[in-house]
Amino acid sequence: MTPQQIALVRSSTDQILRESARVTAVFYRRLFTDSPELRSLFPDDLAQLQQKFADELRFIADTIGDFARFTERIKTLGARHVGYGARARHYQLARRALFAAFTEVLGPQWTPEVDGAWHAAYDIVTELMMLGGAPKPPAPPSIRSHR
Amino acid sequence: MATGLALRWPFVGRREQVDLVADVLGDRSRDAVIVTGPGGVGKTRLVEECLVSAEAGGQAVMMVNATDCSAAVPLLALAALLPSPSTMDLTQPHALFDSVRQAVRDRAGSSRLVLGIDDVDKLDATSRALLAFLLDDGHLFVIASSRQPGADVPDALRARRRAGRVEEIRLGDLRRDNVETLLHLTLGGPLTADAIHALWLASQGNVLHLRELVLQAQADGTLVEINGVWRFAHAPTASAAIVDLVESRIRGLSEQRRSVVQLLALCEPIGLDLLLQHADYADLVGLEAQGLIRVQESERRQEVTLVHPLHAQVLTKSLPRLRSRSILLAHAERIEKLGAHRRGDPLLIASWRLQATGTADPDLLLQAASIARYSYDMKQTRRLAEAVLHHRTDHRAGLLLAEALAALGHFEDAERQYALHAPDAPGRAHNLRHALGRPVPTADLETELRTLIARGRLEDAAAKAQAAVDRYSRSGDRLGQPHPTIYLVIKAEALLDTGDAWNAELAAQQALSSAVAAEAVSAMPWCEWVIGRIHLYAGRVHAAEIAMRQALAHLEGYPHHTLTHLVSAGHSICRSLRRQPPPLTHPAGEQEPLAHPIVPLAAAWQAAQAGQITGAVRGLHEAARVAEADHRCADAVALLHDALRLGDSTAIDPLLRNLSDVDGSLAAARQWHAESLRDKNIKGVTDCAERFGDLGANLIAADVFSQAADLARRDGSARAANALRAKATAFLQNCEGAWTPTAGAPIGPTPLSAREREVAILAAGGASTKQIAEQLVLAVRTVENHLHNIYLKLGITNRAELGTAFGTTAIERTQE
Repeated sequence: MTPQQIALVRSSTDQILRESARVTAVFYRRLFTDSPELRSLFPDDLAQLQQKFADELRFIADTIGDFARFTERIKTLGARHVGYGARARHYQLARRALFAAFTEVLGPQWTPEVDGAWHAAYDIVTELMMLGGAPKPPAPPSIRSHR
Repeated sequence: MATGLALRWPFVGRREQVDLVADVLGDRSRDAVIVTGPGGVGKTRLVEECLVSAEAGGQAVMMVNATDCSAAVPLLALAALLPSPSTMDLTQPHALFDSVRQAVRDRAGSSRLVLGIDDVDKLDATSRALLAFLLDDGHLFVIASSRQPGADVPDALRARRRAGRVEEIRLGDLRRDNVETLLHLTLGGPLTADAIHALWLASQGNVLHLRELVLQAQADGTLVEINGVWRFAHAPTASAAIVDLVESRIRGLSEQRRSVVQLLALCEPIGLDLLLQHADYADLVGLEAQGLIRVQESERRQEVTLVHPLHAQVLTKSLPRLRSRSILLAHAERIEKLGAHRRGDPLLIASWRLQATGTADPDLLLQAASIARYSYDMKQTRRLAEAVLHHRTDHRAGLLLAEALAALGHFEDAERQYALHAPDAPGRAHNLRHALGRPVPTADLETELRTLIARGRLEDAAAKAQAAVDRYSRSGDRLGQPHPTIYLVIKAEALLDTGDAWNAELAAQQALSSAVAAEAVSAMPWCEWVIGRIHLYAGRVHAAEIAMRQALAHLEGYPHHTLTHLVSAGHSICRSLRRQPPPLTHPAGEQEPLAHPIVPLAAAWQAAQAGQITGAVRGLHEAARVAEADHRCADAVALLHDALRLGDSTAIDPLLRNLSDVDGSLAAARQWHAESLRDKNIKGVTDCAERFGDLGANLIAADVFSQAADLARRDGSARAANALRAKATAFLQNCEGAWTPTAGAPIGPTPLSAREREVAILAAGGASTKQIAEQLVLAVRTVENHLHNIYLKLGITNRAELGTAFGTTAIERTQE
């Protein structure tokens, strides 16, 4: 991401959170319409997920400039998602539903620049989640550690 | 993050592929995944990540690399699978393969051992054979990388891919958004838009290139972090090609460090402890920090390698020949001093010495040559055996070389080695008699089998041929034994002669796949020959001609005496039956290396199709007499039965006499045919025409139905004659444009006599009356009389109509 994109992600978070109920509603509706097989990965009651979703979004915006903290938290989130049965292609399905929800709910406020910045953020978040979810390879040995 | 270079790059943009591999691995009906793609896209990394994921899932995993260096010595690439040198006996390849299989089973447990193979297309032939052997056993799952989709993937994987047992993943360069994410995660923070753009433009998503660019730019201070943002301090050297980048990085190294990477380029992997005897600790740490070398854990030992094969490639290219020679030799000596006790060490040392000097310890080379011979890697066998002989006179190496030369089609060179080193080897007799066409006193199995076939002991021959194949696959030492393809071909020929075309075809296909798998070039035309014969038997004359032509094309490179003779004859028969001019080259004039009926048959069919039926029949009788005198009754039967098909009733008696000793359904049908014709038994001839049809011999069936029609017509039952004639035509139409004088000639209310048929065929082919008279040694007046009778019997008035009736208006025929 560029510094400008990070700034855009931060500045647009408030707009999104003001509409977070609608965004999450549209997101889950889209997701389960397009990919009904994913419904079983989520709890029956989606209400508590709405709050979680808002919290995560807020966290991303707050920490995206602080790479170490951001990385650790997102990787932990990813490790949890493995337990939910999440796989790589699910992240792509979720991306489609989420960005459709942003566009639908936020209308003209959702500019191409904001869209691009959030896509870049989403890429980083999902790759970090998958890194967090992948089995840890044994730490590569190094010559330095040899003595 | 501002300190130090970005060495360990996260694995980005490929997670879906890892999931896919995990799914394939969980499916017992799939055996392998092949990851293909250009260099530097991250194939090896994907394979490694898949292994990590498989291991986390509780499976045993192992990683091996095939390299140009390992390809120089058989099995080196799979050394990690081999038993330790103390228990490994390279002179017993069969036992070696078995012990590897057991080791894989032990490691796999109830699941499968997951084996990563980097650059599988560089695997040597023996390793390929071992891989096929292990995959067949079902306790191995392979995740292989290969440079390009079209690269030389081992046959075992190729065949499984066709059978849907292999998943192929084509890896391309990363997309731009992947590159952005990767840079962000690697550098640990944002980059300016122009920095991202410059790196994207220069690397085009090639991960290795991107890595080299970033490391270089970090090292020379071009790419810097200011206030948490990565940016280029001044214009980057972004347009540099990857090879230039690597070269410039290596050029900047100190003398000591450069000598370390040079040693690794030639001899990697090298144990860390061993390397430390040669290099300073500080230099190794420095090289690791520069991202040029890395350490891997392998079998409780830490091994140092260059970070990417590209580095080795660039380095070895720029190394002067003498320098690399001294590096290789010094390292071989170091390993020897340590006792060469690790798996594959003896092979490695042989490989280094071979590269350095073109030779190595002759005992090791001999072992390596024997292993290569065991898996029929004849190119490698030749190279290694020659290297042994360069050292010393060694009869075993000489025999290996002779066999390799014969298999590669260098029959004369092979004979020189046989004469020198193994004058009594069975392979020598085979080479002399069949490939070179020279007489030999000693017997060989192939001649024995062919004699059995010629004498009608067809089932015996087929069983003995199969036994030879079995013996070969069970055998621990295959030295001196010809490749089993040749016996499968003979088995197919024997089965075909019994009329069992179905099983003949199976044996032929088996022969072909064994020849292809072993890259047994000199066995390939044998397979095409027998496949051509099977087509010919079934009346698929066009397919037969194509197979024969392919065999001839293969033979051009290494003129095998016997086979060239046989295939030329087979090709000629195909051409004759399709009424095409005979092939330009004739095998005539050479000493006949092998009595085979196809040679006189070819001459007879050429004459018969040109209208000289009397001459054809005479030739067949002469050849049959020679065969009978030589006790080759099955050969005599093949010749006399074709005479019978051409309408020659004098063939009946000798045919029945010779048939008594020939096995099989085809012989039984021929006997029935001869007896029914002798007795003028219309129903008998008709039934046995059906029988030939059941046996798949369509062209013979067409002829015999025609003969039944003739009999019926002479008997006055025109309606039955027409019905039988229609059957003959129907069979003929299944024969890809084949034509015979018996089934193809038109008939009127009264059948043509044999002489009239000859004259009619010649006239229909465009010969003038005078030419016909000359060819058949008749008076012009007599020919005119025959023509007159022919017109009357067929109800036609001129030669053009005659041509139409024979379907030969467009015959192109070159008369000799």
